[in-house]
Amino acid sequence: MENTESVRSPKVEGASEEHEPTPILRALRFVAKKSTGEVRVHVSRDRFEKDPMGTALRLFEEFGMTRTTDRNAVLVYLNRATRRFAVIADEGVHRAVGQKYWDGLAANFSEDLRGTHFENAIALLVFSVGTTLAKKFPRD
Amino acid sequence: MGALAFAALADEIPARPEFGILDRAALFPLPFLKAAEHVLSDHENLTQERISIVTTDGDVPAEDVASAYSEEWRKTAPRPPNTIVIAVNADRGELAIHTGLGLDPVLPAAKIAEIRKTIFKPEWKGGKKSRAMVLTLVEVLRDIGSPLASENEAVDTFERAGFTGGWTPAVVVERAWVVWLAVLGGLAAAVFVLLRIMIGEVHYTAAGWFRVPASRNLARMLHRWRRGTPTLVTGGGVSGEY
Repeated sequence: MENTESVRSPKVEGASEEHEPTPILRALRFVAKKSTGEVRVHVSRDRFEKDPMGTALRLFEEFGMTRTTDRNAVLVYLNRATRRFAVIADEGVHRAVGQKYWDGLAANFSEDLRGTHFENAIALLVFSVGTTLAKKFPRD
Repeated sequence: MGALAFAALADEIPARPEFGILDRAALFPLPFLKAAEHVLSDHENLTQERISIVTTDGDVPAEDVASAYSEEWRKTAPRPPNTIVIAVNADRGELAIHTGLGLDPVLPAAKIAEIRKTIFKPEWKGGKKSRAMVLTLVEVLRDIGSPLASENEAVDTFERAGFTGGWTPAVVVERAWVVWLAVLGGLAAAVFVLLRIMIGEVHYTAAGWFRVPASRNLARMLHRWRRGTPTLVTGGGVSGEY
């Protein structure tokens, strides 16, 4: 069950963080520091969406995540309205970890989403993926 | 109309009433009837042009009634080519206007069709039958250039007789239907766009986070309709729910 949403100041479009980084941003920065892989997170409230995997694939292409050098990008997509998610990994990562890894990750993620705030659950997932990426694609 | 039926109709045609209105279907309330008779009489005195009105019910089309009565009544007109017969079949909701050759140029078939479509039918369909009759008569007077129309005397006569509601005919029902359809369509489109805006997408990267504009979401939706879902060729992934 999700906790109530924490309050934060609204952001205009842009990339810089002025306040205390959110759990998700902390996790993403951990990945960026430790690995050459790129992880992104996309959160939506589209109540009419029927195919989270399809949406994640379109986002993966739209944000140019297939253009990493080692093909090691990962996208985490969460739809809070339909309570569904998808995790997409490029071929470099997928070859390194295999499908079982993602299946296990999905099971843990699902449990975390039920047990804690969605931001914390996403952060845990990103930390987990980041740890794996740091082993497989370390940043020198 | 068959020759026999026309002949039968012709046999029934009475002499033209003194003031030109044979209201068999009782479409004119008495004050309007008197006002119309007054207007027709004044117009004939001023112009020698005879206008007559016939209202009927039953199965005989208004066009046939107008034609038969025009043929018969022009025999006693001061100037036979300059006659008009306005016929209405109350049961069928039909209006016909038959003009003599002298007035045909000023009241051609196209103009009569326009009067029928824009004045008579909207009022008739709205249940305002006497109003349909009065507006039609005044429009005919206007189109043939009657002095009673140009000096608004016809309008004043009917208003003194109690005519109210203005002189603009009702909007044609078909047009109103189209307007409603356009309004509903516009509302549906607005609701759709609002729902897309409310999706509230947020994208996180290591550099920071930003809200994805609704326009980008709409563009992605259009892209999906046109090109379908991309396939995951070489990567991997998983989906789930909670």
